[in-house]
Amino acid sequence: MIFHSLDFLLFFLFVLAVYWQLGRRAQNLFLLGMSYFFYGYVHPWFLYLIFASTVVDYFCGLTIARHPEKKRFVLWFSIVSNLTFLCYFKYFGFFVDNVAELLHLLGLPSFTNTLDIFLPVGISFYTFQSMSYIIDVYAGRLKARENFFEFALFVVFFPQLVAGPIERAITFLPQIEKERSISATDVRDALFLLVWGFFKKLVIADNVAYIANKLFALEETTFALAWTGVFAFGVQVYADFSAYTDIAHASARLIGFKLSPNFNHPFIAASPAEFWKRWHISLSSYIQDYIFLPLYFRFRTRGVRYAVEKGLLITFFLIGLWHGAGWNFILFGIYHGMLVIVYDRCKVVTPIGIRENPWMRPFQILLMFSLANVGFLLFRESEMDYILRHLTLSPLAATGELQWRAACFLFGQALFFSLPLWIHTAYAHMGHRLIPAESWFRTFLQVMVSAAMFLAILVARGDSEEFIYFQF
Amino acid sequence: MFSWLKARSPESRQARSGVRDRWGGWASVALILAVILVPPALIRGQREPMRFDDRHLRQLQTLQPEYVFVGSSTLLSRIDPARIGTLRPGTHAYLLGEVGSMSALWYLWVKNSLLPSGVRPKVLFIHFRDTELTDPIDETGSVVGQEKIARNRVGDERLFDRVMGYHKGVIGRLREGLLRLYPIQETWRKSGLWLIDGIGFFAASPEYRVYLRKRLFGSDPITSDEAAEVVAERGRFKARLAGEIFSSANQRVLKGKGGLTGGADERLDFSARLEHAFLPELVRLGKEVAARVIFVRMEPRPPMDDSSLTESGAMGDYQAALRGYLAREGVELHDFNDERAFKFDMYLDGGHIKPEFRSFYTERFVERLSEAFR
Amino acid sequence: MSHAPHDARMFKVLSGVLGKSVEEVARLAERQEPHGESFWDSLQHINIILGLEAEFGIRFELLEAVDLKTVPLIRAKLAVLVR
Repeated sequence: MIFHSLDFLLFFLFVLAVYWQLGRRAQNLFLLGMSYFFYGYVHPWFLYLIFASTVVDYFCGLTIARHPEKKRFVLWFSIVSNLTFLCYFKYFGFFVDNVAELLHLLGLPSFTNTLDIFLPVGISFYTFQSMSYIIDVYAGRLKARENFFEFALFVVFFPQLVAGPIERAITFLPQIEKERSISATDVRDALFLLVWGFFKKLVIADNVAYIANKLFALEETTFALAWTGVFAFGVQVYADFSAYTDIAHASARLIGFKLSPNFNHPFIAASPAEFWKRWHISLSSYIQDYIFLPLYFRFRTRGVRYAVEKGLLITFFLIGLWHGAGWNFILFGIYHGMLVIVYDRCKVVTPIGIRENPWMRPFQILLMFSLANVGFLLFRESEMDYILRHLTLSPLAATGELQWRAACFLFGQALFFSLPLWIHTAYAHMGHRLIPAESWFRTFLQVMVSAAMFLAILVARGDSEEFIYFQF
Repeated sequence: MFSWLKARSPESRQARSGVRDRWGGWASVALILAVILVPPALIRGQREPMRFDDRHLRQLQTLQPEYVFVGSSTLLSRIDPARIGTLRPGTHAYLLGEVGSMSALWYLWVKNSLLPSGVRPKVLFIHFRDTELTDPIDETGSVVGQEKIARNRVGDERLFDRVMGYHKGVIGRLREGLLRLYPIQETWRKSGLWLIDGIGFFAASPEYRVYLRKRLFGSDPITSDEAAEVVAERGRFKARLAGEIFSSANQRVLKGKGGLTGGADERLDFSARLEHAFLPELVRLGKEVAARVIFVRMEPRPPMDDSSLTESGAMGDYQAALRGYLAREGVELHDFNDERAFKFDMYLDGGHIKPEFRSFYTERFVERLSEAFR
Repeated sequence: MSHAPHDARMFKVLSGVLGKSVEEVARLAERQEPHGESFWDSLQHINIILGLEAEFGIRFELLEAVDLKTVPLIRAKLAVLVR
C-alpha cells in the first residue's frame, strides 16, 4: 500500500478510528494486525519473509539473554540468516548476471540468467532494523524482549516499514511498551507535516520526475540538457524520499509515536561528511555505529588514518550496495567515500581562516551541491556508457540554439518546482529568528501555506510515481 | 481470557480524558482543517463541455477503410496504415487507437464510432497485450481517463456503466466523489499546466521576458497582434521541442529484461474476469460490423539476447482459456509472442516499437496474416 | 557553565575537533538531550574519541565509543572512567 493512494487514506482513517478506542496492549495487537495487512496488501507472500525474520530475531534475542555463553554464535546466526534473506532477494540475480558476463568475457561457455527474483518492498529497511535489536542485545545495551507481539510490531510498524526511517530497537521498543497519548498540538503539527509531505511528493517530486525521465531518456544530448536532467533527479529524489519520511513521521505521530529524523536540509551541506549527516540520517548513523566504528576499532592498531580511510571506503561501498544491486550504486557509494576522504585530507592543509570563514560557506555549499549531483547521476543511471557520456560532455561544446533553449525551459521548470524546498531550508535557518516558535502568527502562516499547498496538490500534481526508496 | 486486552492503564485514561478536556485545542484543529480543505471545494471553475468527439466517426466515413485496427499506443507504434496501402494497393487501413486506452475505450469506439459510421470493414483487428481484453481500466480512474471516457460515450451507456462500476470498486467511487467535491482538479488543471509551461518559456525565451515586462510594467498597452504572436511562438517552440529534441527517434533504448508476461503470483482466472469485461460485447459488435474479426496478442520486447521469453503458468492458462473462448465465438486469435522477426533493438521500451521499424513491423504483420489481407 | 569536573577539558577537546570556540561548544552541549543527535559527524566522532583518549589518558572500547554520541553521554562515561 502506498501513502499517496486512496487505499491508504481509508486504511489510515480506519486505524485512527479504532486505535484510540483501545488500551495499550490491544492497541499494539491492533497495530500489528494492521501493519501486516498494510505490508501484505498487494503481495501477501511478503508476509512470510518478514514473519520469518521476526521469529528468528525474537528467539535469537531470548537465547542470548538465557544462554550468554552462546551469545556470539547466536549473534552470527541471526546476522547470517538476515543477510541470507536480503542477499538472495536483492543481490542473487545481480551476482548471477555478473558471473555470466565474466564467463562471456573470458571466452568460456556462458548462460542467460532466467531468474526473475521479485524484490520484497522494504526488505533492506526491516532487515537492518531487526538486526539492530540483536546487536544491541548482544552488546548488553538492550534487554531481550519476552513479548513476541511487541517485538513483531517493532519490526513491522507500518508508517516506516517500507522506506524508513530505520528505527533502533533501543529507542523504539520503549515507545511500544509505554502508554501513548495524543494532544491537539500533535494533531496540528502532524497535519502540517502531512500536507507538506504530500505536496513534496505529488507536486515537486512527481513533476520534476517527468523532466528527469524525459532528459535521461535522450539518445543524443548536450551538457546543459544532461545536467538539467541530473539536477531534476536530485530534486526529485530528495523531495520524494523526504516526503515519505514526513508522511511516516506524521502518521506515526497521529498514533502516538515519534520516529527518528531522516533529513536535515541536505542541500546546504558544505562538505561530504556534513551531507551524510543531513541525508538519510537513520541509515548513515546506523552504518556509522554498526559498521564504520567496528571497522575503525579493528584497524586502529595500524594507524588512525589507515583505519579511518579503510573503514570509510568499506562503509561507503556497503552504503552503495545497500541502495541496490547494480554497479552504479556501488560506484555511488565509493564516490561518496572518496569524497569524504579527499575532503578530510584537504581539511588538514586548508587554513582554518578559509575553512571556517562564514563568507566561504555559500561557495562550499555550491561546490558540495555540484558534487552531490554527480552522485545523483551515479544513483540514477544504471548504464556505464551513459554515465561516462554524461561525465565527458563538455560545457564548452557548441550547442544548438534549440538545445540551449530546451535546457533553459526545463531547468526553469525544475528550479520553479524546487523553490519550496529552498524556501523551507531558508525558513528553517532564519525564519525562527523572525517569527517566534509559539506565536499565533506562525500558526496562521502555517495554515495559509498548508492551504496553498493543498490547492497546488489538487491542480498541479504530476503523474503519480512510486516512491523511489520503495525499491530498496 | 482476553481481559488484559481491555485493561487500560490510569495514564491512558488520563491521556484520553485530557484530550476531551482540551476542547479549545481540538476546535483549533477543526478550524485549521476547515481552512485547508473547504476553500478549494468552493471553487467550481469553468468546466469544459464534454461532448462526444466524432473525429473517428468522420474520418472512418471519409476513408471507408477495408481494414480497421483497434488498440492502444502499442498498436500505434506497430502498424503503419500508409504502408498497408502500398502493400495492398487500392485498400485503406484505419487505426482506432489512442495512448493509454484499454478495452473500455475500444468497446466505446466500436460501438459509438465504427458501427454508426456505416463502414463495414473486411477485417477488424483488435490488438491487445496479455490481459487487456478483460482489464477495462487503466487510467480511466484519473481526470485524464475520465475525459477520454466522456469524449467517447453517448448518452445512456448502461452496460458500460455496469462493467465500469464493478471495476471501480470503493476506491474508484471515492476518487469520483473527490472529483465532484473538488472540481478544480479538472477545471484548473489546464491553467496549472499553462502556468508551468509559461515558467519554462520565461526561462527559455528572451522575447517572452521582454513581452512580460512590457505587459506587467509597461505604460503602452499590448496589442492583440503582439499577444497572438507570443502565444503562437510558444506553440511553435513546444512543437519543436516535441518534434526535434524529444522525438521518438532520439529516445534511448532502455536496456533490461524483456516486456512483462504476467506476474507469477498473480491470479489470472479468465472465466471470472470475463463476467465483468467488455470482451463479449466487443466480439458481438465486431461480428456485427466486420466480415471478419481477428484478435492479435502483441508480443513484448524479447530479452537482450533475443531469446524467447518465458511465460508464467498463470498467464499460459489465461491465454489458453481466452483462445478457447474466442474459438467458441467463431473469431480468430493470432499470438505474436512466438514471432522471432522482431529483435530487442527494434523496441523503444518493453512494449513499443521504434518509429524506424514501424514499416518493417507492418510488412511482417501483413506477411504473417497475408490470408486476411487478400 | 561547567556541570561536571571534566567539562572544561572535554569542551577543550570538542572545541579543537569541531573548530568552534569553547563557549560555543558549551552552548550547543546545553541544548542537547541525553540521547539526542550529536552535532558532529562520523569523522569528527573518531577525532573526538582520539582527543578524549589523549586528554584523559584512557582508551575506549568499541561499545563505549559507539555510545559517545552526545555531550551528556561523554560526560557520563568520563565520570566512570576518569577517577
